[in-house]
Amino acid sequence: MDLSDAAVVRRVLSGDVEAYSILVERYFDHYVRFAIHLVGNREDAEEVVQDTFLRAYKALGRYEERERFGAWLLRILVNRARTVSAIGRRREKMFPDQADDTVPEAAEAHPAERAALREEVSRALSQIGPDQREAFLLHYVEGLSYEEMAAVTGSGISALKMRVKRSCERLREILQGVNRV
Amino acid sequence: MFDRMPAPDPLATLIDELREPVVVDPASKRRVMELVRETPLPTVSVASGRVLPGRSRAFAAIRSLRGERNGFSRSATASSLATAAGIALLMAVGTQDSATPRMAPGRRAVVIGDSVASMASAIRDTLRIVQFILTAPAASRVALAGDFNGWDTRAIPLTRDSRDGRWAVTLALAPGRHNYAYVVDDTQWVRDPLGTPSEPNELTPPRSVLIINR
Repeated sequence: MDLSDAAVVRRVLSGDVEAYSILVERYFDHYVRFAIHLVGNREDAEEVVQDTFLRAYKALGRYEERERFGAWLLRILVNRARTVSAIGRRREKMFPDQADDTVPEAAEAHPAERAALREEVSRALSQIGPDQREAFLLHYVEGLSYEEMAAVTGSGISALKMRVKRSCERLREILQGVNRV
Repeated sequence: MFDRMPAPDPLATLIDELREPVVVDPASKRRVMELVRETPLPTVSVASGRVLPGRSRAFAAIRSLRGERNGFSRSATASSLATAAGIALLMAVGTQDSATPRMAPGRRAVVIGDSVASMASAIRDTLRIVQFILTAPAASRVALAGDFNGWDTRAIPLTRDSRDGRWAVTLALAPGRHNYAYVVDDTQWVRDPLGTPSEPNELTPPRSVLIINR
């Protein structure tokens, strides 16, 4: 049986709704990871990914097989994550005392080395701009080429290259600063 | 060609950490399906015949690059690299003589080299060259499908070695976790006999998981 993503989409569109769980199973965990790094906390990330899958399902009739399903899904996810991040930033401006505290202040306070590393990573990512963070994650964590990133984000390749370059420079500064403490 | 990134680069450590898989509560996925079941079945939109130049070009770029990354073009590069490095592979040879499409382990998917894929700000993103081998002497066709190619059952065919019934393909893959399976004669999904089985799921075919470290 052909169980490629495109074939599964055809099954869903022909009425086999349960086949959609094959796609959920294939991509959900991976994209939750991506969303966590993008929006900064797990709760929002899981909501974003759930919403992405639901929106993708509703729009499945417009999916074109010539595009890789994972990339199509990623495009929806990036748009949803941008919206959620923007709402979060507005909320922090309006209610600074209630700002999301998912990024801890000091890595040194945690005894476990791994936990400290994760905190350091979260903190570093939170200190670069959303556009740079998005470009960095797509390129270095998701492994997309600049052409693929352009299709997913709607931005130009030159702009994306600049964002990745600057994000690398900024992250290195931040991380080296942490290591010097 | 095979030089490694200078250790210890804090950015490389950060990327490794970001690539670590996360554990998601299965209830979260079940919730998606609950919502899907409550949603009317999507309908197929009729193609209008209009051409959307920008979008089409972008999609074409994705297709061609994905194909190059995961298919034969990249495989050819990978093979060259492996040859240039003088890497000798010792492979277990299957001895099946049955006409039935039995599968035997030739060798699990193995990382056999590196390829520097891109560079930005002195960070080198290294692809690992991986050889996938399945011994299936009675098979007419074998392909590799995985999350790296959208589980396409035709995009990455394996090449048969007529001497011993081994089928092989070499790919360049990014570090991280990759689920994959072999598709024999277009219909039969086969887990890598020597690979690490993926978490079983009644909805998906048998899969193996390959974790590639940087």
